[in-house]
Amino acid sequence: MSNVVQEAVKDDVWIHSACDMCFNPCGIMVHRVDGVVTKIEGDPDSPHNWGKVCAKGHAAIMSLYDPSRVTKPLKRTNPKKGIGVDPKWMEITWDEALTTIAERLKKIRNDNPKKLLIATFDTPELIYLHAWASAFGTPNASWIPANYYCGAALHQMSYVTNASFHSELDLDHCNYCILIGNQMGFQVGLNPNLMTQKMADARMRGMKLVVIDPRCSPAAAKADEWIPIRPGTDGALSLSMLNVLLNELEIYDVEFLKKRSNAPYLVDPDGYYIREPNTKKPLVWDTADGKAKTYDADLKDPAIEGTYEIGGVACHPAFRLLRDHVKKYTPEMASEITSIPAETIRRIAKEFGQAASIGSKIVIDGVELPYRPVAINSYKGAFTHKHGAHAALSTQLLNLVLGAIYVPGGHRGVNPVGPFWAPKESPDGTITPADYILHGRGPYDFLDFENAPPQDMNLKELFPTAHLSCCAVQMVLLEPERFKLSYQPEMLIQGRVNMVMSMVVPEQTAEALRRIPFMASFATVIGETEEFADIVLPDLHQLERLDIFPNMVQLAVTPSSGYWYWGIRQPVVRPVGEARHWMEVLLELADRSGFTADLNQMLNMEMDLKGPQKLDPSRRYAREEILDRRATSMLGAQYGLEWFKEHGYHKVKRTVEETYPGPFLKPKIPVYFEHFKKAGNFVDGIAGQMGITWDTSDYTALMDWNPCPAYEEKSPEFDLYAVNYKTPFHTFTHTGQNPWLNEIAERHPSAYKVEINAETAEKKGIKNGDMVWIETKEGHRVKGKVKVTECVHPEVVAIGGCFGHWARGKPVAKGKGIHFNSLLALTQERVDMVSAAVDTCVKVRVYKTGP
Amino acid sequence: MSEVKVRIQYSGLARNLAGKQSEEISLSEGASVREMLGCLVERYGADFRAALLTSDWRLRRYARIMLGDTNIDEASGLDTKLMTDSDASIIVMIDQIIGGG
Repeated sequence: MSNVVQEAVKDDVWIHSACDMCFNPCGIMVHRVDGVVTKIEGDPDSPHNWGKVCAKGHAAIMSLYDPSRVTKPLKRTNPKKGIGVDPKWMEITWDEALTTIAERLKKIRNDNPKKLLIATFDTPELIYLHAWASAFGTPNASWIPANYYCGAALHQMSYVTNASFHSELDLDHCNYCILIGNQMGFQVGLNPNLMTQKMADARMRGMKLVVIDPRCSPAAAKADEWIPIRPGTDGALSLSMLNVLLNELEIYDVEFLKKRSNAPYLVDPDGYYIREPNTKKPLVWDTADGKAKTYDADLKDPAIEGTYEIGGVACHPAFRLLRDHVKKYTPEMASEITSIPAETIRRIAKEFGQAASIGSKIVIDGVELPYRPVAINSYKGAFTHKHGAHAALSTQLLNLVLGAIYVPGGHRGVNPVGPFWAPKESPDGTITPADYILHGRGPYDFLDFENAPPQDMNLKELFPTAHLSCCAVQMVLLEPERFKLSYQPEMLIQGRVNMVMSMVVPEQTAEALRRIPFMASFATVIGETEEFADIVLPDLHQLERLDIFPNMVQLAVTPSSGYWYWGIRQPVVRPVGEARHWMEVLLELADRSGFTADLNQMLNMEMDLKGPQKLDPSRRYAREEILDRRATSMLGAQYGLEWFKEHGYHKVKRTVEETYPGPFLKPKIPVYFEHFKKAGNFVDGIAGQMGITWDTSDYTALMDWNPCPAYEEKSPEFDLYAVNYKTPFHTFTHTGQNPWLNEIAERHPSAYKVEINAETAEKKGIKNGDMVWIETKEGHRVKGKVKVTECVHPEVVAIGGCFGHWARGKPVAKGKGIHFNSLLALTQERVDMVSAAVDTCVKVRVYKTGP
Repeated sequence: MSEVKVRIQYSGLARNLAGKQSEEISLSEGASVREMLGCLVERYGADFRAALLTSDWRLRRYARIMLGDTNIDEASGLDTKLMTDSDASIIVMIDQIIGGG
């Protein structure tokens, strides 16, 4: 299907654009010679990466010229759908493809628009897709694997405590950094090229780095100290460290807790805030005046300790309850759970607490700020487990009790305060994100939910505090009678997401896909999910695409860059074959299906277009014009699309208040989470109405560690934990087909192999290079070649990436590496009921495949 | 008593729930947006209200009501008075969708 376009005009130019090989749109400069891309380098003018680019960025050129590219619309001729089943594609015209799809869209929209399901991971396009799905009338537009591969619990935690989507740390000033279950600063995570440089600089400056991970990751390998931990026990470690700090050492930031957190809120014996009867505002005990006042009154000395009596009810400040609550997590107890020696837990907690330098100040750009040069940062590895929400918040509390939040040296969300926005307050005065940066549900949105069973496939009423619950879509598809929606999907539009590989147990996802009568896919190559499509439409490669502001300020712009910035991804070459931008195709489908007027209304609302930028509902616009109006509406008339094509980036320096907003924030940062109790009550009510059993035991105001199913599996035969890790040179299933990146993985000691601890392997008679089965108690199994190593916990087998492709349309990727997710299961027992994270560790047995 | 006539355009989820793209309704002179919505909620039921308004009648985050070119949030909200021969747009978007991260 290859059709490499040769440009007619001789040229030799470097062009500003943005990478799309992972979630991070690093700025790139692309060298085009005579119509052919010859080189990709980092854009030195891009604050996202300041000229650096990773292996994936360089390798994008190979995906552009992949001979497996889809170049024309394809129609399935084999009605049978299944894994390994040949769809027997037939080339068709765009007109035939769009006529077929538009007819179905019209019928569904007239019948019940909710019967259209959309699945994509194309993040920069989500604002247009939000408008498109709204205009069509379907709320079912988020069937993606984010509950498996992303930081489901991390994002929920970050919204609750940081009022922003992501989190990071201030490596410019941090002196003691703990990474637990993540590799920030080592070419993964947010702004990887920038943060890798910052991490290297911080290490040169003398910052101590401790990495807690079952596997000696690239981060652990470079750290001062690697502490192997049993998978799924990170929360127990965090709570124990918290106990050491709060009760054994009594190291905590009293000033922060009293003035900038909800630590003083008075709590009744049932765990709810004591409230002023008229305003319902939480009360705080002002020691100076000897009486209770509302949290927002003029407080001279709010109490965070003691017992008080309000209206005949004995109550305690939230912080007192937190201190008492964590006492049971002794290092000895945590050691049993985590396999980390108690003395190590005590030592790390002590070092961390002492390094916080509580009470110290620093002056930056003439502004005096609290200085707390410590941070613990985490992500999927620690939290994508059953009870992941508790683990995430337990870990974050380590930053919070030391006041190491939004101040120099500490932990922080990426952007609670920006040029157009500021955080909001929950009804109880705690911090919550501005609407502008909200990506998914806010932590307190559920307070306005209807008290009625779900009508949408993400079942938000059953996951009311989760920022997303896309795993529910698959649950609903597979168990429609249980969730009692009044409809079933009739059509799926899918693109830039590979659900069959990125979710769990491919056959389960395959069955979900088979239940949808019609599927249209946008694809650059035919992957495992596109094999289920009825029509495939050729999509653009990043070097053929036009996207404005791919570096989404609300999600992916970190304070570490020192700037706010807006950029462009622009076409460097003409599309291969007949490929088109999928959003442009959706605009045409809206027109063919008769809802352009609604779409323009929605785009006006979504992008807040006013005056001359406002779209006329009666007109159909070219996508370029819409992008131009968005840019000029947001940044001013001079910053149109043409300006960005020429200049690449518009940058605005961050102020101190935007970089370190801690002392300037009015809303309180919570260390006690009363809203979870309310959410649990809400879910109980909804489940009762639906007549289903739904576990709400994790909806508590104080965090605990509870075992995930793998921990509870005590069969001596299934004696190892299987875990998955990210490699810095591959992204999900997106890059497996790239020949250069495949070559790196093939040459890597373990990327395509299964890592087993040397001592464990010896006990099992397994040697380096042996082929083994890795098998769960449920009978799911995968095969892989062994890499014997001391760089993995003795109870763990580690499998990298999302490999093991089988699609015939991905000949480079096919058969390489191991598909870890084939070992997992999507059941209620394996979902964190608070964050909707799907548990990604499982107990397995490992045995040789035999001769 | 004279009346005000309002031509209403429904978009997104509001269209689903009203079951139509547009209509014209008559209200008493001096009526506000709140009264217009009261009439529509009576006509289209609890699901219509739930999509547009919270149970205590605050406009939801992804709902917008325009009178001509004016967003009622920039006027007097639900208490904005309707002029005779008004054009109103009731736009209800879906909740935020997710991807990435």
